[in-house]
Amino acid sequence: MAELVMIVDDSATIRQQVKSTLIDAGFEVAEAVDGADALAQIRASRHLSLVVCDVNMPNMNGIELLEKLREDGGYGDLPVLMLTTEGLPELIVRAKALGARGWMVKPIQSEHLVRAVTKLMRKSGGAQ
Amino acid sequence: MTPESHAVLAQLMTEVTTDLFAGYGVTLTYAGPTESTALPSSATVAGVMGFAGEDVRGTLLLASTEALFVAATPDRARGAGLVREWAAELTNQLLGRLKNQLYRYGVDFNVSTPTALSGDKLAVAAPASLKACAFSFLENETQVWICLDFVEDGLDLTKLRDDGSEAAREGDLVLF
Repeated sequence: MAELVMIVDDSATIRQQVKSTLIDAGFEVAEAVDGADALAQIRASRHLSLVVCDVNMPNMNGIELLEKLREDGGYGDLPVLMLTTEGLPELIVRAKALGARGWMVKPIQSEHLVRAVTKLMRKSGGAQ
Repeated sequence: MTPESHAVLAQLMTEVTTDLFAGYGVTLTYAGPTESTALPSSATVAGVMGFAGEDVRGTLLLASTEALFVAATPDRARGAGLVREWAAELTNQLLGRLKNQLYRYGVDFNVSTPTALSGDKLAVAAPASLKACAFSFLENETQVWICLDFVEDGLDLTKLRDDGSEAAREGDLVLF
């Protein structure tokens, strides 16, 4: 069974780009339009192996999503890879402290994305 | 803002714009600053995004033809009705690049959610700020127009931040 990855981004074009890339690499992909949507889906016990998450989104941004997942507890083994235009060191440090497993600055480079997702999944041992 | 800082801003704007579009296969040449802050009549799609920080706040507007935005869309992001979406995302990535560059000078700001619009005879309200500056780029004869409208409080782009730190670069990947 293919591993399930969630892409969280308010941009439909980014979601489409990531979805297409990861499906071609053999993953299944779920979509969320913002942090609140993602949180609801994660809480609904989807068998997610990894989350690719934007930072700047309305209705709960990526950092807030990390905070909520930490508050909820029980998601420590769910890798979250941030995919964003943001590059400020302070933000990267904050995301790492909140449990993010990686940070990728847009534009999306398909090979790097697939490699990062595969590596993080391997480290975490697959589906939650 | 001093003329020296304005020159730095113009240089940064040129670099981030040409680099952004080059990454998506569109080669732009800088046609120079433009006095006019009116949208070119050829522009039928525009992305808009706001930003606000301690030292600077305003909006960024990116406008061009639908054909140019389509040309700058990666294959995987193409689809019916997604031109405006991509224009908004390009505006987001453009402001993100500018933000990451300005970080070196100690400038930081939060960004809003991008939006985009399309239509014929697009027009903007004349910016109230005296600091509005527009930049024109060309892809062959197609114009790409950027207006940066902002207010600032002594923005100094002649000095880098004391600690020498820099933002992560576009395409960077860090696994923790």
